Amino acid sequence: MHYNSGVSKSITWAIVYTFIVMASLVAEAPRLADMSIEELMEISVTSVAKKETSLIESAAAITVITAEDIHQIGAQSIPEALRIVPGINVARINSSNWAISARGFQDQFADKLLVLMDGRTVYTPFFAGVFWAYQDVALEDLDRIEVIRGPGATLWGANAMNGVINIISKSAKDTQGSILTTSMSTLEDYQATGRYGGHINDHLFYRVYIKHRENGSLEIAQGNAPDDWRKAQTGFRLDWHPTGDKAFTFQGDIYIAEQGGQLSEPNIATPPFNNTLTTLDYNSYGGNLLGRFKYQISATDSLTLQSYYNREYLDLNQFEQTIDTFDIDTTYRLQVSESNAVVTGIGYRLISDQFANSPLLELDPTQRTSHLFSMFLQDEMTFFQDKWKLSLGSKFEHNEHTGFEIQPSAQAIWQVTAKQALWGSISRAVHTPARVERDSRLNRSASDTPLSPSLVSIVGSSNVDSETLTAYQVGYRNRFNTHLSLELSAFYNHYYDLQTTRQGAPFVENQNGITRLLIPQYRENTDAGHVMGVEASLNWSSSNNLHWACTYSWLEMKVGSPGTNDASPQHQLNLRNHWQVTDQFAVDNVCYYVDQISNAASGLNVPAYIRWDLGVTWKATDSLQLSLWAQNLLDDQHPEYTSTLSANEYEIPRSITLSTRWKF
Amino acid sequence: MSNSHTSAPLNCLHKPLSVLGLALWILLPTNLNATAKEYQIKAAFIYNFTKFVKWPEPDFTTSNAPIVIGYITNNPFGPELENTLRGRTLHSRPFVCRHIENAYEAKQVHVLFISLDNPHYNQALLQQLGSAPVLTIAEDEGFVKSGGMIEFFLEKGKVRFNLNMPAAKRAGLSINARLQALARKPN
Repeated sequence: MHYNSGVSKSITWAIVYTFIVMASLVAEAPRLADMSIEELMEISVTSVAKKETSLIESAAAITVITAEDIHQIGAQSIPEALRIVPGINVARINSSNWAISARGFQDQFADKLLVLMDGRTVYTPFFAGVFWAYQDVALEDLDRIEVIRGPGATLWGANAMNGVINIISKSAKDTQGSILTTSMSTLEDYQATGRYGGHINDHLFYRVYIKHRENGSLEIAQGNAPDDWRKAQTGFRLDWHPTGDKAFTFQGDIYIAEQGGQLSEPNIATPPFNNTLTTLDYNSYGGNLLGRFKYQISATDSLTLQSYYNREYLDLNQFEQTIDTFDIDTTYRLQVSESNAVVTGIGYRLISDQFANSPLLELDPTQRTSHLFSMFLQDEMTFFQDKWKLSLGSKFEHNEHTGFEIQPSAQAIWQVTAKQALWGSISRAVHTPARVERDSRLNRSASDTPLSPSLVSIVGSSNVDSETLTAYQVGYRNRFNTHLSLELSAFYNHYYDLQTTRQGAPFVENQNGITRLLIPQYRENTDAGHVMGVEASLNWSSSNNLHWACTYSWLEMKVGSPGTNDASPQHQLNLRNHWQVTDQFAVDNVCYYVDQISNAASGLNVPAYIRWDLGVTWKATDSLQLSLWAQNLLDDQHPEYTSTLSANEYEIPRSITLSTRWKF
Repeated sequence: MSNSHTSAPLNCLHKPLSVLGLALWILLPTNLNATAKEYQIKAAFIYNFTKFVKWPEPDFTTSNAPIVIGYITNNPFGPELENTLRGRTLHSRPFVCRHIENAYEAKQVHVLFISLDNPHYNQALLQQLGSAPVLTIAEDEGFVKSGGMIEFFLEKGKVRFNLNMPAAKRAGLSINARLQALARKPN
């Protein structure tokens, strides 16, 4: 009894006190408004507010692609927009696939990158990579894409190893009215999007959209391999702000897609035992539903609660996957004192999958449910009149396979002057084994050897452990004046326990009445090495209507596994220029240089290429805008990548795209 | 004795709860000092500015059409502004706050507050606004120089502002001389 009353007493006091404090916070603002300007000018600012978007304050290499940027580079999809970010490697594999990675390890199945759409993780738990074709939004509703190079694991957890891509859509409040956009190109790419945004009252806003795209086939050097694809997607978003400090968001999307492609599959059932290149159509659908509540407790404190459900289904010839993800997490930011803020959060994720095996890919077990628990805590301290800021924190994660994973980081930034800042960070991040790495057998190639058929297979194992990274970064920012700004970053990434394959002793196996020699290649964590690089970006406005941007990245990979080192371009350069000729006319020039790469699996070299895109935008009326883009002007066609799964390389040809935007 | 059941779990809860209570006691007072008064003060300034500005007549459709205040920022300015203006009117016109995303929307407001720390964006926006009757306010150094109307700055921890009269005149806004007197001349 005694304890009982003690407990309730402290709770009661805490609650009462909280209310008093909150009430005084709320009361303050109106009181100030009753003062005259003369009186207001006498009030001292007790705490200078932080601008959230102020990049100069973050101790990380961040690039923000705005909706305006996307328009000014003529990008028709999210992967194409990522080309302008230094340190991000983008290569189009074919019409519907891209190999995208941050700071090296470029591969179709690149697995060290975290991609989020409005807070929802979109890399597939199957191989921890991203099916870029399915990650689409109505581009008009896209607010920005934030790209963080380097680990973001302390906040986001496993897989946020080499970078985090945050795709953020606008609030429904900011997408009111109707928009109809279309685009068509000489590549036989067609897109149409319709969006309607309305409101029920001053606090409740919504939008619905529908989008359809059809992309034509790209060409390959030999033969014919249709890789055209089409996708229909629809979705909604609801934003409710019952009061100025509370915001609810509900959103959801569903899509259905059909893609053409090529697959090199082994014949393992009947002779001849060989690999055949199959041309196939594959089908997929997916959907998600997300709810978020954000409570801005005060100007500095906030609480966010978010939950979502996601389903992805893919039917690749005989191989089928259905993955359901349920996630719930919460984040709380508390300004403890003027110079100290704590950000903390907990999360839980449930992944349930179901596979149907094919001759190429077998999973055992075919069904698995896994639970992921996580928690993070970060402390942000400022010193010397906010000139120094230090953040210390860690993510603590538990998965059933590798157990506890701790991913700490330390970041410091020194605001040298009002215009320039120096930052540095050390962080640890992990890539936890994906489903394919643990439980799969990938039958790479079958052949008829004189004595018996043989099969080379990459075999996953429950012994596969997490890959680990220790990353060291430094950076420098300078906003010389209103016309010129510079951003530099350099990193040294040391990787431990990288996955590689080791050829094991061949053995005879008997499966479905066929005896064959299996040459196993076991997945194991025996590789290590380092990657280093430098990224630079420069923005310059030579006059009010002429803007220039230049980014450059240099990368050097020294990891043990053969082929990986040369699969990412060493040099990348992007130069763009936006010229607002009149209020109605704008001209954009975008140039890309991407260094050569070679693919270990196919043994093919992809030569360096220069791509030049030229676009003209005409704002015909207040509601109608037309853009005409000529892309890849300098050559007829060039490859950007060779796929690990098909022998042929697709080439990206010169193209012309006309797009319209009608707002009404 | 029916309590013996419940007191055991409460017993183990006592410690963490009193720690929590203590933590709230300790944390909250400091928290009070840390509130970002800067934006509360600036919101109050903006409310006051509207009293000194006359917009061209056709800008209001009816005599009680609202005064629309737009803000382009991702910092917590929005809630502060809405708190400050809630329930207030000016010459029987209510206030409406709106988060603005682009130049098209920016042209539809009476007052526009920009806090993005991106001078390129500010310039591009000002240019697209042209001579639309929008009172533009920002807190970036050089905003007034590049054609903005009001620029907040801090001086010895107090909020001050610059005023660009020619820019206001070009946009068809007339600004009361009293406000001019309070402003620091653009240098």
